[in-house]
This record gives sequence, structure tokens and C-alpha cells, in this order.
Amino acid sequence: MHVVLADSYLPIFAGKLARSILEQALQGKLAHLAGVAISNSSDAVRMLYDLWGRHILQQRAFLIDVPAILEGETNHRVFRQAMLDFKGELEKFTGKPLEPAALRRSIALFNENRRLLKEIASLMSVSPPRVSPETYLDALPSRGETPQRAELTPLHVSGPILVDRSFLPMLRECGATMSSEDLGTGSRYFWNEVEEAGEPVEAVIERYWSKIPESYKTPMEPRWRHLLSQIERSKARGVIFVIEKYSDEDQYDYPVWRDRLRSRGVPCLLLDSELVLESEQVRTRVQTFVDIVKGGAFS
Amino acid sequence: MTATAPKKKGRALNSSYEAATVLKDYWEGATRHRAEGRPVAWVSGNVPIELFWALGIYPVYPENYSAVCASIQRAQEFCETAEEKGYSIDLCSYSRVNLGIVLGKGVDDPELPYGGIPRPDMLVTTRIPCLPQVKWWEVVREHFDIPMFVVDATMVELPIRESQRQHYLGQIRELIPFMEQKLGVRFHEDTFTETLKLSDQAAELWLDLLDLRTAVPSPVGSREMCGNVFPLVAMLGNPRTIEFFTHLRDEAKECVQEGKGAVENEQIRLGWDNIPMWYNLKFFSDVEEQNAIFTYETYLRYVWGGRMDLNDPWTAFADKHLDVWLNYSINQRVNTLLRDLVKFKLDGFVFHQNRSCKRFSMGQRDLAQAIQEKIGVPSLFIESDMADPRAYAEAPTRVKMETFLEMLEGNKR
Ligand code: SF4
Repeated sequence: MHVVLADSYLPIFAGKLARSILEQALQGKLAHLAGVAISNSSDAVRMLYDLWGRHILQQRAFLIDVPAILEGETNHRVFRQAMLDFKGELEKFTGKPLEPAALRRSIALFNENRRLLKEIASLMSVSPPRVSPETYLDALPSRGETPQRAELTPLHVSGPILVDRSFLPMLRECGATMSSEDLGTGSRYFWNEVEEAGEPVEAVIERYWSKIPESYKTPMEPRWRHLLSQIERSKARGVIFVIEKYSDEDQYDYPVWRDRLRSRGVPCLLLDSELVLESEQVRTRVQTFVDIVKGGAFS
Repeated sequence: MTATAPKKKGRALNSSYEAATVLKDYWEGATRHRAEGRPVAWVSGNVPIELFWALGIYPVYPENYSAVCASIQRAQEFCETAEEKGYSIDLCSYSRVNLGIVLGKGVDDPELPYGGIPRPDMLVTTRIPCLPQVKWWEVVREHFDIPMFVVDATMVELPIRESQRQHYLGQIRELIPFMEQKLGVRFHEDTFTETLKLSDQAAELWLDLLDLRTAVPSPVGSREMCGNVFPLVAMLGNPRTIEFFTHLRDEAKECVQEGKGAVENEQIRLGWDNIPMWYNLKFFSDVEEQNAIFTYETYLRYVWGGRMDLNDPWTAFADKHLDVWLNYSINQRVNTLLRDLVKFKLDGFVFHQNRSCKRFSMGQRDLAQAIQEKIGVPSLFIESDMADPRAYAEAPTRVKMETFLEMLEGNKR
């Protein structure tokens, strides 16, 4: 999306994602929504909440003001309270209390979705793959399935988000395929289920506290273990990091992950994205990377 | 040293010449502390600094070290090393300087300023100023493999909510035993209270000094004050800070009483938002040739220090650390700026759109709009970086600034 109006409020280095969301709101494209819920997922996104309150006056914004540090008894208590506060705000806003039975049903449904997504993920990781990365990411039935070939080199894709789906056919044209991922909007989003026994609100809170954390959260080790387990599961032969420009949290992680992976003999490639990945330069870099991975010339 | 002593050329306050010695003593003190086998922690902006001095743990500030490197034109080489190691040019330049040193030739390289950065036994940081700070520390932990503690906080609008205060204090209650256990130190409430008193005294002196700059003409400009702020960052709880700030405050007071300004014929009063360009502090003093002065900075007023009501020390301690500009919501920043601009009688305001410090720079357009609409103060934006000189374009920035000053002069006529 071309950013014009949001330029008046957010500098370029706030990142394309925050700027595009604000742009859509300022253009009135989100006016159909009753409200927006914003988390602390980066400094730019946190500022988005303030800007919403100042400039998108007709729409209610909620802040899910949770700690980013997932350690210690105090942070756990504050995290829980922030989630309860958010629930309370939503109840006030909708005028309806959250029914435990309805929440249980919703948890069961989401868990079922998560389990199915995990199954699809494993079908994408087999050789030859039984579903395409597109199908997997869209979580659609395998209608219109892109044929998968065994000779494609399996690669893992890591990063916060993969908006530009043209990257996936491009990868295939270069002789590789995404066999696994640990995207914030992918497996990190659905990997952990909510405990179905017990009090449902507490179970949801616990799930968000202990799920595989996003890059803005500390400590980083659970995220690393997930990345590694996905690579091992899918037998990926290399990792492509797709990182949004100005996403500081991911930019700090990348060299650490890269060095750890290299020490295990796993080659890595970094692609800078601004929601789009299409360019001749990107294709050339991916092609070179795939050739190196295939040829085992990586050191 | 007082204002009656003959002034050396270049500084409005003679006491400002002490700053370099204070800084040197601080870094040499850190090296000595390490050499004597006493504990050293690497810390970042807005950590609970008084705790470190009270516990006998030397707090080493890599951020300050990066600013020092920038001021002696050595930041770029370290930034480039960090970039070669894979750290994006878009990341905070303080962190790039530090990572360039840590991952490059190492912190003991004798070619480094002050002979190097003492190695840490522990890392303590906080999300109060920004999230990237925590990420930077994670990289440092990966390198040194030592204990790390992170103090979390969510952004505030004043007055600080009790839940935010308790969140902070709960973590401090976890941090103290963590430090005791990992570093073999003991916490004594009496020593801590004494340290808080020293900290508060320093803050009082500093705020007095800043308030003296509401005077017309202003006794001292931003260039000098940016050089003087360091003890407020790293040495709160250290008696040397009190001594230095007393000299500064007393000398500025005399200047104000005598009607002596840093600029002889002060015509235009300016404010500054964001971290200065450490490699180019001259930017501030250059305007003085045109009878203008920078006499207010959000960075010097709301990022460091802060008074504490010691009748309720823990509450005051929490509030002081949460009540900082970088942790303010945009609404809070707007309200604060509107109040201060009137008090400091500013004619114009300069926003440094600092590509490194995103948390500081986001929301600036709202601030500019508010001060123009509500109190008619016009502003100028300059794009640059606090430590990486590659982001600074001298010629266009100079032209912008000159044009802005001409416009302000015109407004006054
Ligand atoms: S981004 Fe700003 S607040 Fe954060 S570490 Fe860098 S200079 Fe400090």
C-alpha cells in the first residue's frame, strides 16, 4: 500500500507495517470495524495506539498492555491482569459478559484449527510435499493445489510475517520450496494449544504467556528452540530469513540465529522486505542461495 | 569556580570544563573497580541506577561510551564493523557502536577510548526507554554468556497508575536478590536511602540549573549542557555529581543575577527534541553566531534524573524511573511540551528526527502540530542520527536552519 496520509504522523523508519495500517485507517478503509485491538508488539505498534486515539476519533482502540518480559512472578501477575483488563474492556464495549461455555467452545474450535494446521504443516514437510506452501499459509483445502516435486530443495522460512506470496512460486522457480516456517503469522501463531481442562479464561491467559514468543519478547530461547525443531522436522537444508525493514526486534535476532545455524552447518540467507519481496535482485539472491545449498558449497 | 573568575573562551560557564574530568574519572573508576575484582554491571538508560551504587556494583554505560566514540569521531568505524557482522544499518547506532566493539576487536582493545570498556559480570537493562535496548542486550548476553535481568514497564500517562508502580517495584524486589546471589553483594536499606538522598540532591541541582535557563538572556546553551549531563545518567548516588552540579548551578545563578547571557545579544530562543548529534554538537553553538540560543531540551529535562519525595522512598523511586520522556505516551509528551515552551519563552523548536532512536522520534509530528496550533511556536525538522555521522547531511541541514532562523527573526519584527 502506498503511504501518503500516514506520512504526516509516522516517519519512514516506523516501518511499512505500522504505516500501512495507519494509512488504511486514515483513508477510512477500516471504518467498517467496530474497534481495533493493539498490542505492545513493537515501539511503532505501541505508538500506533496513541495515534489512533488522537486521529481516528470515530473508532475505539484497545491496548493490550502486556509486559514483553516473560520471566519472573511479577511480570506473570501483570500479564494476567492486563489480559483480564482487556477482557473487561471488551465486555463493557459489547455490553455482554464473556460466557465461560462460549469461551470453551471457542477454545475447542481454535485448538482443532491449530491441530489441523499442524497436520497441514507436516504434509508440506514430507518429500515430495503433499500440500503447497500457499495452501498451507492460506489454510485452505487442497483445491487448486500447485504440484509439488520431490526434487525441490526444502528450505525453512523464518521471520515475523510473509505478506508477499509471490515469493513462494519464485522460490520454486529457483528450485526450492518452503518446507517449514516459524513465522509470527505462521507456526508461532498456532503451535501452542489452550489447555481445555480447567477455568477457560485462565487457560487462555496461560497459553499467551507460555506460547512461543514473538521477537519483541524476552527471553529468546523458546523461539530458537521452535525454529530449530521446525528445521529438524522438515529436514530443511537452509533457512531464508524474511525480515521487514525497520523491524528492529527481528533485525537484532537475525545475526544471532544465523551464527548459531551456521555453526550447525545450516546455511542462511537474509531478505529485507517492505511487505513486498518482488525484485530481480531478490530473485538473483534466492537463486544463488538455492544453488549453493544444492551444491553443498556453503561454508 | 564561580562566574567571577575570568572566562575561558568557548564555554559560557567555566564549571563546564569540569565535565571532561568527571567523565574520565568515571571510566577510569570503572576500570579500577574491575581490576580490584569488584563487580561490574553493564547497564542501560533508565535502569534503577541508585541500586548499583548502593550495592557497590559499578554501573558501566555502553550508551555513554557510544556517545563518547561519536563525539571523538570514532563511531562510524564501529558501526561499520557491526554492519559487517550482520547488524542492520537501521538499528540504533549506540548499539551498533557497542556491538562493533564487542564483536570486533573486543572491549579490551587498548586503542579504544579510556583504554577499553571493563568486561561485565552482569547485564541489567529495561524496556522503559525502548524495546530495541532489550534486544541489544540479548546479543551482548549471547556473547558474554553472563546473567541478565530486564526490568519491564509499559508506557505511562501521568499520574502514574498504582498498578504500573507495583509492576516496577515487584521487579525491583526480584532484582535485588538476583544481584545479591549472582554477584555476592548485600543490600542494606540504610545505604540505599543515603544513595537516594544523593541522587535527589543531584536532581534538584540539575533542575535548578535548567530552570535558570528560563531567564532572558539564557546563561548557557545546549552544546555545553549536553556535555554536562553525563553524571545525571550514570552517577546518581555519587557525591562527585553533587559537587559538579553545585558549581554549575551557582555559576549559572550568578550569570542570571548579573543579566549575563551565553549569547551577547540574544534574540531568538530555541528548543530541541531528541538526543543530540554527538559528533556535531557544534550544530547548537553555530546558531549563537546569529544571536540565537538553544535553551531547552526534552532530552536533558525528562530523560534523566527526576526528584523523589523521600518520605515515601520506594514509591518515589518507582515514579522517578517511570516518569521519563521516552516512556511517555504521545498525549503526555504534548501536554508536557506545551507547558514548558511557555515557561522557557521559546520562539522556535527543532525536532531531531533521529533514525536511530525511533521511540523518541515517533509522535514528533503530533508535537509540532500541537505547539504550532496551541501556542503558535513554529518548528523545524532535521533528519539525522545521534551517533552515526553518515546520516547527517551538513549542507542541506545548515540551509534549513538558517532559513528557519530568518523566519523566526521575521516573526519577531
Ligand atoms: S533506540 Fe533510543 S532509547 Fe533505545 S537504546 Fe537506542 S538511543 Fe537508547
